[in-house]
Amino acid sequence: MTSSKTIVLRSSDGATFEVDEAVALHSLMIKHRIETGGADSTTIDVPEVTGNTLSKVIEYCKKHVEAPNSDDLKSFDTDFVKVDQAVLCHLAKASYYMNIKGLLDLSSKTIADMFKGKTVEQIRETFHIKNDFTPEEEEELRKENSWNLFV
Amino acid sequence: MTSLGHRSTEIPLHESLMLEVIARLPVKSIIYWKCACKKWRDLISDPYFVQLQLFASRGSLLIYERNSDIKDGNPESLIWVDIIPHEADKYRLDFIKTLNSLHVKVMSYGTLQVGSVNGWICYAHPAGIFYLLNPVLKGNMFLPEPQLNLNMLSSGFGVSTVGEYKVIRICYRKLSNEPGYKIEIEVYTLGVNRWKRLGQTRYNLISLSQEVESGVFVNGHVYWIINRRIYDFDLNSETFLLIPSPLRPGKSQALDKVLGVVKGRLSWISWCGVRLEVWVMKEGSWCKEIAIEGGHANPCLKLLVTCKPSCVIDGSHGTSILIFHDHLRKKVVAYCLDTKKFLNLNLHGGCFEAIKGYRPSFVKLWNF
Repeated sequence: MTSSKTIVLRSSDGATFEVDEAVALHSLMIKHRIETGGADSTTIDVPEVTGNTLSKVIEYCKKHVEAPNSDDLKSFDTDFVKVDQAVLCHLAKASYYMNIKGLLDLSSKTIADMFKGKTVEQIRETFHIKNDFTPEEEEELRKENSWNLFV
Repeated sequence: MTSLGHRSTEIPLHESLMLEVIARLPVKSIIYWKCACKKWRDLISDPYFVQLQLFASRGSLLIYERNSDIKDGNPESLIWVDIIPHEADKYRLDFIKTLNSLHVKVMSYGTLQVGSVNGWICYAHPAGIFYLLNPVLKGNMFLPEPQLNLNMLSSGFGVSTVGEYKVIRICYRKLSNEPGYKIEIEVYTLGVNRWKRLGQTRYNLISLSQEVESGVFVNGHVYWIINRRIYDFDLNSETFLLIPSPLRPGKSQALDKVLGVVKGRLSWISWCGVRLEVWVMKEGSWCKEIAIEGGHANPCLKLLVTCKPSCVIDGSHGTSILIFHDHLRKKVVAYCLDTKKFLNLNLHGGCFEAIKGYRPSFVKLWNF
């Protein structure tokens, strides 16, 4: 059995997680920290991510690093994002901050699918956006995007 | 900060992350976001987002249909559909729009799609008329008239590694006093606003027996199969090179062959009614990815007996889907190269001229 270096990741709320270095390197942010941090960087702080989310992120990285060619990777991913909206958003934020491309892609796509059918009014309502266009600007936009109306 | 969700469980998502999400929306939804307020209009118009969306763009399909009823003056129409995984082996095709209502002129009889790059589609009419169109931005232009007044064997459309969009014409003329043909190449570079004659090439790019499909663009090169050989046009150096085909000479006689792009690599697909082979070019040499014999081992392959391979399109989750087309029986069959399963595309039998993969983008090639 080869001995592999382990890294400790510490979340915003002080929870610590020991992971194989290879798994931790799946996050390009951690990779960068390790490469620039010097020889004794065995504990990495991840202050933007809570313990609950970090634990899930690690689960994702483990699966993708240890079994990247497994047949059930796609179903793993599909099930991984079957979580409630809050958890999904935390995962997306964490993947963005920790620079984990696959997880960012997966979580962003899932969030996009959740509201892709919305019209302009519904977008404004759901995301509490105020319409600050002047009537002239609105008309300009309508003309520019008039092809939408053909469907 | 943009808040997602009901007031009780609001999770603020910062703008950069929202842009990642919006980039993965269907094009219509992205346009709706642009109309939401000034901030989002500006963020989405920004080159940063355009690049982001280009790489995250969801694959869709362009379906060229021939209408048997031509009363409305348009014998052909182009239907743009979104390809959405439905269940395990089923895809749902969501109609986005019909493009003939936008540009009636383009769809005149005989117009063919040359190719699409970064959301831009290039069309060619045999009379030498070329047209560039981005259906998302409603940007479009006719190219200037080509210089060579010769028959066109084929054309191609691509972008060089330094970002120059180019259209290539391979032309020929029968020599009057001797056997053979004169082949001449012409290239149009966007921004230069005229065609440039490249003269002759050392290769005999002529095919008498079959029509030559438009070139396939991959990574700064455009490739053609002409007379069972593969020719590689480098968009940077603007030169042709003959590259070896995966099959031994002589073996490729009765095969239907088509070039496609599988996961960003040039691929060669051949089908002879009983055997399907898919080769992918990796680091300069061909690797056989798939070889399937029909018959008892794979009885489902008999679905393809009367079909020809048409193109490769991107499915969901990074899969590649091979489209087979039987013009006569108006049948379209889709085969996933990754799961090795036939897919139900729920395409109603119609008179399809062609089906092409397409990735929409907001890339502007010039200011309009």
